[in-house]
Amino acid sequence: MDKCREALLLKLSAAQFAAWEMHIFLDTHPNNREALELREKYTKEFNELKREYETKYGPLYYPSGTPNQWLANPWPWDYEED
Amino acid sequence: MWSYNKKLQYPVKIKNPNPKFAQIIISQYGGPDGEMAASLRYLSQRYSMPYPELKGLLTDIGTSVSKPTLL
Repeated sequence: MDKCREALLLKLSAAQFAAWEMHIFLDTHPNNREALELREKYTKEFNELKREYETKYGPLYYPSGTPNQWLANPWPWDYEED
Repeated sequence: MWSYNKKLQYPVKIKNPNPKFAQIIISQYGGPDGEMAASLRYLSQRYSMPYPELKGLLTDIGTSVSKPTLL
């Protein structure tokens, strides 16, 4: 995977992870305002990065893309060692 | 219930790839003698098992095998 693509994907995964962590924290701390704000912030970041990635490199999430775009290689396991 | 995202959950970098070993591992998931498939059979077939000791046995093996595999 080229370096730019890999870096963007990493940022996207990080934002997704952070948003999810805030989300599950709110399960046990439902009134924590900071957690709520952070969840919104990371979710927004994730959505922007997702749009950027999918525009450049094709669909990552249902229901993005046409069926042919979805099916196109590479799939997540199709990478050679650089 | 589940959604598939077309990306790895975390980045993966394998320093010393071992395709033969990988083949052994993955055959346990989906191969003809896979442990995963066997545990699903144990878990499904215990409901029609008439003997309590064997209901227990199938349950215990079915659940103990599934735990590490489902990681």
